[in-house]
Amino acid sequence: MNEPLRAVVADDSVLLRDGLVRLLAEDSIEVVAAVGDADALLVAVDKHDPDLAIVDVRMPPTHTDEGIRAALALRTLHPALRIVVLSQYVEERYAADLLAGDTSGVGYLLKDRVVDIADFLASVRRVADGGSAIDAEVVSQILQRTRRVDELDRLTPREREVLAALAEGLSNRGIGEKLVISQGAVEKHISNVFTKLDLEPEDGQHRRVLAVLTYLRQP
Amino acid sequence: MGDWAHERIPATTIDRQPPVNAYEMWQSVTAGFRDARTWRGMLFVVVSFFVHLALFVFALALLAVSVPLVAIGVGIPLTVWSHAAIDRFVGFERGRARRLGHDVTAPPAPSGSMWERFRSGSRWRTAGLALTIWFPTLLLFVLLVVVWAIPLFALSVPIWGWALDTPWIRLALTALIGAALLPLAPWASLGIGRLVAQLIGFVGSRSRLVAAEAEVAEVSQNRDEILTAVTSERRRIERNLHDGVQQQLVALGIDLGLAEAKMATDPEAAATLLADARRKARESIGELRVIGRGLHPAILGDRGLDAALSAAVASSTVPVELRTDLEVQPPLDVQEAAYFVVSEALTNVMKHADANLAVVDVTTSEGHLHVSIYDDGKGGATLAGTGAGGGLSGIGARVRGLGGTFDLNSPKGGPTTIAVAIPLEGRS
Repeated sequence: MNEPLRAVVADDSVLLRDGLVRLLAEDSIEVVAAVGDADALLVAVDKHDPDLAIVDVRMPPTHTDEGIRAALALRTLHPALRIVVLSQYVEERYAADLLAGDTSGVGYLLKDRVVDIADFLASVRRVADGGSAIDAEVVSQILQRTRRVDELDRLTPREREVLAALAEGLSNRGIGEKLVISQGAVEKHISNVFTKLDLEPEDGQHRRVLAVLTYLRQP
Repeated sequence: MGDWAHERIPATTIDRQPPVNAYEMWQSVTAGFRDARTWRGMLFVVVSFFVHLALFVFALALLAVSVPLVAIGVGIPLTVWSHAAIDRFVGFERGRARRLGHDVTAPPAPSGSMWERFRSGSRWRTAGLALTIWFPTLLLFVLLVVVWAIPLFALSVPIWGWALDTPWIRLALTALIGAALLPLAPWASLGIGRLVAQLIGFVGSRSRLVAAEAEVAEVSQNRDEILTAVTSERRRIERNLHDGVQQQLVALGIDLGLAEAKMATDPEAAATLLADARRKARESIGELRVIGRGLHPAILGDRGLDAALSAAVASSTVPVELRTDLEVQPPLDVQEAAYFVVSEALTNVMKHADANLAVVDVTTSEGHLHVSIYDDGKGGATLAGTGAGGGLSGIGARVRGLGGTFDLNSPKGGPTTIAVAIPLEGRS
């Protein structure tokens, strides 16, 4: 059984809010408040001081990026709060805003991921533990738009898969499970990636993600 | 002054019966002189000559001063002012042309910055007209003078001709020719008068260019409105998909995922979750159907406007009386517009009007499809942002895009009437 957590859920769809509450309960994450817009979210966080906030990007009144802006505000107001942002579709700009600073304790996931319950809960747990969870779609967009294609060509296909998994925020074990390879192989690939791309080897998981993302986004 | 220009000359004076006696002959030869239209036509030509001369001098003087000054800047406002003054003068001619039965529309006064007004195409055209119309008028005026001068001169020859020792036979012949030509002068005068009237009517034909320009402007404004309406419509559909159906499907997925996880340990809970999932699937299908209908009502193509309207009315929560009287089936785009007018209007009635009754009336007459929606609700409906995606203003744009008209009458306290007319045969 995982450590019990207290969470606030913000989503304007009642249906999805209820679904999330039930889903999180499966992993002993108690939803202390479920709200429908960004203002209510800020109030609820102030009131309940939860460990975790799960926030929909599109909320009233404009249905654009209220969730992202609320998340950024919460990062400043409550640095210890872990935040998972859910989005209807991949918008790299939103992800970039959210992941611009520290990627620890932040997640940016497509809503579709919620349906793969085990994976979703694992991502939430990873964020709750101070790691990061970046949607594979976002990572692949970042990889596609990076201007470092030449340098990435130096990586083997397997190493590129490992790089993408690193950027998503997966742990060594997570990478091993995802790519169905041994821990030893994962460590070897990671060290190859870091060497080939001239990255400083990083220990902390979120620092690894940060290093990779920073590298990919640099001109 | 205007009636003579378009009047047909009475048959009695044109298709003259062969005169039977001297009196009738005299009557018919002198008819033109006794006809008031002859003299009015001549007066008209003379007045036109002087008006056009004055217009020419006026326009030339103003433009000769203002246009060269454009080089030092002062000329621009001066030209704009001159244009306005010339336009006022030409307005006098437009008035005369209108009284002659020509359909003349004054071009709209240019607006915007001094520079835009300076560049206004219609004003320069008016100025060009003011400068040139005098020349044909002059020609016609000279022709009029000649038409009268030749017979009168010929008639006058015997009076002073004998003093020059001209043989009397030549004098007599000349006088005879003059006498023969003189009765033709009234008819020629009338013809010249008509030509001048045509010329002034040309002011009208010039202005039809301007009218065409105005129509182009209106069409392009309509196009902009349609583009805006299309964009907001697409945004509405995107929102319906992302915030409606997609959310439902995700929620459904959660149920299925949880059911899957509980299947082994808690089959009863799993069964409940599956039932929930099935309900959500059904709701999603319903939602998709609504969105699809919002894109294009399939029933329109299958069963026509009448059936589509019945379906739209049937889904209303406010009692609706539907009256249709379609003598012809309108073109599909007109039907579609009418359908959206009715369904959007009824949506508004349901959402905002607090009404007990609505009446939808759809008829074809005089080449138009007329749609009116009445409700006895609290009124106060506006074109701005009622309903998702701009609502009424969106359908207003759609109707105007088909060359139709859209009127909303909704005083505070009600009742509300929306009246729409769409031409059946494309843009008028």
